[in-house]
Order: sequence, then structure tokens, then C-alpha cells
Amino acid sequence: MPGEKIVSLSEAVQEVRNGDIVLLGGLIDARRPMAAMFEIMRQQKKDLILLAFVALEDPLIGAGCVRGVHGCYTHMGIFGKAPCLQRAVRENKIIIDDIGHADSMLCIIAAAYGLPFVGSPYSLGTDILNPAYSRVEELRQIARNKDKIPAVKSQMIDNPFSDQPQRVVLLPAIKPDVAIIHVQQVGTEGTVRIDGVQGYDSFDALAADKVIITAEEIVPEEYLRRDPNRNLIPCTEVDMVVHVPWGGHPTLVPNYYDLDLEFIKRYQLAAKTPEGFEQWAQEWVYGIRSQAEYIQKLGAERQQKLRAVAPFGFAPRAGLVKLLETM
Amino acid sequence: MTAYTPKEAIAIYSARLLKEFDGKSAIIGIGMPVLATLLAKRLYCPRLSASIESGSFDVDIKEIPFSLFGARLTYGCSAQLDNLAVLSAAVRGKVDVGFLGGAQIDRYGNLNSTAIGDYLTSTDRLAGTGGAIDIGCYAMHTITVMAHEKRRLVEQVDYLTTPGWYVKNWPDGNMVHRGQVGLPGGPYAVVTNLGIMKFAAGGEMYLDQYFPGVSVEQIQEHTGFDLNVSGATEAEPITEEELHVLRLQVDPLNLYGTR
Repeated sequence: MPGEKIVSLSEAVQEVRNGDIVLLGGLIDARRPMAAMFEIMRQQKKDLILLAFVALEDPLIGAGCVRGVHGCYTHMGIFGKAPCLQRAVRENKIIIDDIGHADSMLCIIAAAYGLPFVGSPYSLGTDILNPAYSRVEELRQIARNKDKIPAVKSQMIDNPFSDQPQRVVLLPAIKPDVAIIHVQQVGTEGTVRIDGVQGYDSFDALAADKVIITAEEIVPEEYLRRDPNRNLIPCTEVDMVVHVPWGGHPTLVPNYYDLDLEFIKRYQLAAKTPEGFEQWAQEWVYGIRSQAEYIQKLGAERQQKLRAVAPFGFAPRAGLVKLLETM
Repeated sequence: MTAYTPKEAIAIYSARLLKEFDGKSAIIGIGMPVLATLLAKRLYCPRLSASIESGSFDVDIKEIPFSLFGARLTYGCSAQLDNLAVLSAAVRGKVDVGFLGGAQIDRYGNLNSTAIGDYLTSTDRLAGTGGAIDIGCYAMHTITVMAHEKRRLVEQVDYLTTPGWYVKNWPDGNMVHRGQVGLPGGPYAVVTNLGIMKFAAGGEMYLDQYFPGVSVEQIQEHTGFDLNVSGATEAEPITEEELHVLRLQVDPLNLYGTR
């Protein structure tokens, strides 16, 4: 049936099960599926294991949804420390298994391309390879699908194809249960067009068992199919489609809106204490019953300030004319 | 002479260091390296090709970015691919300079950006590995910026995130020269608010220049290991032009909080 993949946000997030390995699309503070994260909080999901970068996921951690991370980053970008993550580490409520940026991507790329494992040169000489520091065993205890977490973190071998001795690190394919990606445009059947930095998203969609797309706009498939080279994810890899305008706020969505610095800084300050976090979450997550209500709460003035300007895709800070003068 | 802050000194002196890499390639990390590179490209090395682990190749940044992964990186770049396409340039031998921020560093240039204290029980998480590990493993020259404090320049980093000249050889974890585990390149310089350090042939950090108004004793006091200062000279003073370009053109709204 045409358009049958289109569902509500709450329906889509119901697909996330406790103990799932979840891949949240975008990167750090760019095109993050924030509305979907807030819905995960509202549905009180537990024991989730996040892969790759963990940054604006901080409210998810504050709500107790995340038990484990197998990834390469735990700050809020240039904003600095992630308050709920820091608290969860102090209180021993989260397991973080560190890996490098390239290596975390390789585990997903391997899954995307159906490879059982890949050979990597990226972490030689570092404590990533310290056998005493591996925490995959602990992540296995949390995961709903235990065999999706590798039995060992990595394995070092000698390159069998090289005349010269060369150490190579084998990394396992890690297949997420769910990928949730926020995009600019998606077709009614699930074809995805992304603008700007794509992060791991094309690989996420191939690797994950279930793919949920939240989008600023749902558009006719036919429109996107006029220029297939511009489409990053095919409809065949997408299970659910949700229309969520401003679904990336407060992160940036190229061509739509810019990073809401004030909002993120205010969150960071509030979340320093558990009480402050609860208050913030009540105001911006639990007390919000729909995306329309969230957008209304943002208000027209803030929306206008954040709105991206063509062709740049961001909102020139001192206005367009000033930007053109300095160029 | 206009007064300037320690952070402005880091930005300007590291911009000067990039001068010799005009016409070469770099991968730039988040934060101060971005500020310093934008300044360097305006003043000293307009043909330095900078790429970002956002997958943005040969960026041409019109307005200083806050996020490293937004439209300000994509607009005007040569091609917007995935992250690994940029990071792999280092493995493929194409990255002359890796420009990173660091939290902790030892005398061999090993960086820690993961956690302070005993790793398994640490309650003080830092940024994590990010792309620093990939860049530091394979860039021909790594430049690191950081604040010059005793708790940062340490005898031994708590966690070895980014490899310096002597790295860990697994499975036993013994320290060996980075070449022995197959890593090319290595640390080139460290720029702090007090001076510039470089690395001797043996892989050990030494003081190359101290900034005007700073004494070598001050530098030794703020360093947590024995730093060879015998050959250090005073750096050339910061110029009005450098401050003007930094304050009025590169970061007019002081987003990076340098002043």
C-alpha cells in the first residue's frame, strides 16, 4: 500500500526494545534525531547500548535509558562535558567501551557490507588495544541480542598478504537492532535525501535490522527519483517514515536550521544536577505531548533566528550582508 | 602593544607554525585547531588544504563554525563524503599535518583525551578518542595545542589515546618506538600558552621557544616531567595585525571564548 511506511513518532519508537543496540544518526550536534530521542525518554526505554559518538544523547542518559556505549566520543562537541554522562560515570551506571573514530565506523561498515569482520590499521600503539580495558563482556550482559555484541573486542594478526611483517587489528561487524536517522527529505516510500555531513548514516541504514527515518519533509518519491545520485539511502533499507519538522532541534539541520547554542548551553547548565535535569526534562520532554506543541514552545522568534539561509545552509550570525562583506 | 590573552597566544603562535605547511594537507580537530587554522590561512598559508573528519574535503570556511559537522564545513568544500574518507587520507600517506587539542601529554607526545585516573575506575571522562587517534597514528606531523599545566604535561598519561614517539606494543604493553608497530610520521610540536615544544631525534619533548613575558623557570614549574630548556629562545612578539585579523575577521563574536 502506498505510504504504508508512514507512521507516528510514538509508533516508530515503540519498535525500540529494552536492551537494543541503537545507532542514532547524524554526528555530535549535527542532524541528530532529537525528537526521536525525546520520545525514547517518554516511552521509558531501558538498557540501550549506543554505538559511535555519544554527545547530544545526554538527555537519554539522564533519563536512565542508556546502559552501555561502544564508541569513540563522550563530550558535547565544543560545548564540552556532557553533564548526565559525567554523572552516570561517577555513579557507575554506564559502561563505556572505548574505540577510535575510524574503528567504530569500520564495525558498522563491516555489518553494512555483510563482512564478518574487517582488518584495521587505526589503533596500533594505543590503549584501545589494551586487553585489560575491553568491556564488551559487560555490554554482552546488557544486550537483548547478546550475540550481536562481539565475544572479543578485537584481535591482532599478522597481515597474511604482506611480505613485510605488518600487524593488523581485526574488528567485528556490529549489527545494530535499530537505526534512527533524522533527515531533511524522505519520500513516501522511504527514499532518503540528506544535505550536508552524512556521518555514518548510509552505513547505518544498511547495517541495522530496523531503520526509522524522521524527516523535516515527506515528499513524493517521484520527485526524489528524478535525481537518484542525490539520494543517500534507498527505500528498500527503510522500515518506517515519520514526519517530524524541527525534529533535529536543538542540533543543526543543514538547509533548515542552525545550531541552537543558547538552548544547548541552558540544558548543559540545568543538567548539572539531577533536580535541574528533571526540571528541564519535564519542561521540554515529558510535558510535551506532540511535536506541534514543541514547535509552538520554541516560538516564532527563535525559529526565525535559527532558520538557514540559502545557499549556505546555515544562519549567518551577523546577518547575510555582513557575511558577504567578509567573504 | 595591545594586550592579548593566553588563548590568543596559542591561536597566533600555532598559526605561525602552519606557515611552513603552505601548499600541504592537514586534518584539523575540533576547537582551538579550527580557530588557529582559519587565522593561519588568512595570514600565512592560504594554500594549506584543510580537511575535517566530518568528511568535508579541502574546506573553504566562510564563517567560523561552532559544530565541526555542520553546513559551515560543507559549504564551499571540494566534496562532502563520509568521515572515513577523510580519516583514511592519513593512512594513505596524504596528511602532512594533524592538528589536535590534547588534555594530557607525556614527554614522547602521547596524548590522553579519554579519561583521567585509573581507566577502569575513572570518574573523570574526557572527550574520548574521536578522530585524534586516527590522525595521530598516521599524519606525518602532529601539532597539539593545550594549556601548560603540571597536571597536563605528565610523566605518564593515564590512558594512551593518541600515539606519540614511544607507544604501547600489545599484547604485552611494552613501550616501543612507533615505527616498530608500523606507524609513520609522529608528533612535531606542542603549542601552549607559555611556549612551543618540539621533539628531539630520540623522540623526547624539548622547549623550542618561550613566549615574551614568560620565563623558562615558569615553564619548568608548570611541566610534570624534566623538560630540556637549554636551547630555548624567545619567540617573536605577537603583532597588531595578527590580533586584528583574529578579533575582527576570524572570530568577531568571540565564539571560541579566547578574549
